[in-house]
Amino acid sequence: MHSAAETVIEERDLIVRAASGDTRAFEALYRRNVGRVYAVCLRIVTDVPRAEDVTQEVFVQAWEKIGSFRGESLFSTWLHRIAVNLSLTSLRSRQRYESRVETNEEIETFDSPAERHSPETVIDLEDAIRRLPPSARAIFVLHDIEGYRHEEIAEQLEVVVGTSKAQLHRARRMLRKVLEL
Amino acid sequence: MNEHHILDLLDNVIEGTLKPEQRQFIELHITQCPECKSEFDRLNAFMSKIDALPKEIQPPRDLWSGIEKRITTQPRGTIIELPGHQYEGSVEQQKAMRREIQQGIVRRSVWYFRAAAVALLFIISAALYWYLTLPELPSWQVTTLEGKPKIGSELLAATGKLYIGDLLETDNASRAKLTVGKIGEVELEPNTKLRLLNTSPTDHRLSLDRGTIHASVSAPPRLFVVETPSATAVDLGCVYTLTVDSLGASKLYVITGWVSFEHGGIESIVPQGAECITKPGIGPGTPFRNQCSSAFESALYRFDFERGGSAALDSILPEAVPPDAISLWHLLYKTTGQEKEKVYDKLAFLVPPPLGVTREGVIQGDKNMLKLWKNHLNLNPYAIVPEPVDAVP
Repeated sequence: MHSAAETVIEERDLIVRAASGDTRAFEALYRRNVGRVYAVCLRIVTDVPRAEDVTQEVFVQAWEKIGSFRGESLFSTWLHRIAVNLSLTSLRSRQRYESRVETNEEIETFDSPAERHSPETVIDLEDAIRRLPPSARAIFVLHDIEGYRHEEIAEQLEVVVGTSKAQLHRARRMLRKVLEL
Repeated sequence: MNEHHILDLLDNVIEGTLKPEQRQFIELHITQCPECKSEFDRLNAFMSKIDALPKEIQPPRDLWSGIEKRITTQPRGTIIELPGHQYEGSVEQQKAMRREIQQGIVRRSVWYFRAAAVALLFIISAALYWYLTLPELPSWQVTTLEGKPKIGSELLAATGKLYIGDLLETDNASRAKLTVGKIGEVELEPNTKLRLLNTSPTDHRLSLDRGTIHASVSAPPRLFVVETPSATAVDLGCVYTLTVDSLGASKLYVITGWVSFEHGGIESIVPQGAECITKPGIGPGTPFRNQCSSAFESALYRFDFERGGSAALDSILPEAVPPDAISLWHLLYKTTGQEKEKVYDKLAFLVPPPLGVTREGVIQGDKNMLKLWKNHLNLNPYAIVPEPVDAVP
C-alpha cells in the first residue's frame, strides 16, 4: 500500500519522464486518471462515442502540454481542467451544429409526458442528468458533482454568476421532478 | 400553516451561503412549517443521491492504443487532426474523391504560403511594437526594516524590487517588508527565505522555504497563496503568522480572518484565534484554538503525527470544551467506526447539531450534514462574516 506522499512522489517521477518523451510513463498516468476524465466528459457531452473522442483528445493535449505543467496543482486537477474545457468546447460545437440543422430533438424536451417514467420504473439518475438541457446539465455537473464554485463556472462558460445559479436551480428542480423527490 | 414559505431559500441553506441570522430564521421556520420541513428533507435526500454518484467511470473500451498511436506518430507541437470521416462508394468514386482532395491540398498550399507570409510580417511588426512599448515586469516592493536583507546574492539597500523567480533572504540580524501589490503586506523575521512565484491580478503566490512571515492581506479569498514544503496556505482574507522550520514542517497562527491549509486533497480551515501544524509527507494536522489546554494540544499532536490512534483520542475528548468544536468537527473526517462515534457524541454534547443533522448520517459521512453542522459552528468562511468560535454556546 502506497502512502499519499509516495503516490505524489511516484506521480511526479512519471510526469518528469513523460515530459521527456517516455510514453510508458504517460500510459501509467493515463491508467491512473482515465476514470475521472471519462466521467466528466461523458456527463457533459452525454454520448459514449463523443465522450471517448474527447477523452482521447484530453490525453493527447496533456501529452502536448505536459512540459508546461508546473506542479502548482495536482496533475489530476490539471488534467480535469483540460477535460472540462474540451467537453464544453465539444458541447458548444454540437449546439451550434444542431441550431443550424434544426433537428427535431427539441420536441423531446425534459418535461415531455412521453419521456416521463412511470412510478414503477427504476429511474436512473445518470440517465436523468443526461436528459437535462445542455447548459443546465453542464452547470449541474460542474457544481454539484465536480465541486466547482459558481464564480469558476461563470468564468468558464462566460456567463454571469446569476445565470449559473439560476441554471443550477433549474437543473435540480427538473431532476427532483423525475426522481420524485 | 405559515402563509410565507421559504422554499426558494432552501438551496442556499444546503450550499451554506446564508448569513447566520438568515439561517436561524429559516431553521426556526422549518420547525414550524410542515410543508417547508418536508421540502427540506426531500432536498437533503436528493443531495445525498448526488453525492453518492461515482467520481470515476471507466470507458467501455481501452482508449490507450488510439492515444498512443497519435502521440507516437507525430512530434510534440504539431496540429492534431481529429478522427476523420470514412468515405463510401465505388473504387472510381473513391479515386475521384482522392484526386479532388489532392487538388484541394495544392490550392490550399498556395493560399497558406501567401497567408503565412502576411502573418509573418504582421508578427514581426507586432513583436517590434511590443518590445518598444514593453511595460515593466511585475514585481513586489521590498523595504528593509533592519540589517541587510538579500535579493538573490545582492545586498538590499533601503528599498528594492522582487521579481517573479527572485529569492529574498534575511540573516539573523535583518528583517524586511514586502508590499503585495495593492492587497497587503508581508513581514519577514530574521533567518527567513522566500521566493516570489507569481504576481498577477488573479494570483499572488510565494514559496516560504524557511523562517517566519507575518501576512496581512485584504483581498478576495484565494488571491494570496503561500506554498511551504508541507502544505499550501490559501488566504481567505486575513492576518496570520506562518513559520517553516529546517525540516519543512510549518505552523500557522491566524490572528484575524481565515486561512485554508491544503495538501494532497486534505484541507484544514483555520479561523481566527486558531493554529494548525503541518508535516512533510503528512500534510495539515487538525486545527486547534490558541487558548486550548496543553493536554488537548499535545494529545492532538500525537493523534495527527505520531499515530496516537484511539489512545490519543481518549485523551483529546475529555479535554474538549465548547470552543474546541472546530477541532472535533475536523476530527470527524479523520476517524472511522467507533472512534468517529465517540467524536460525534462529544461534539453533539458540546454543540448540539442543527436541524437536519443526524448521528447516523454523520457517522456514514453524509457531506450535506457535515456541511450543515460546519455552518452551524460558523466554520464556513464563504458563508458568513467570521466570528470567534468562542461565541458558540
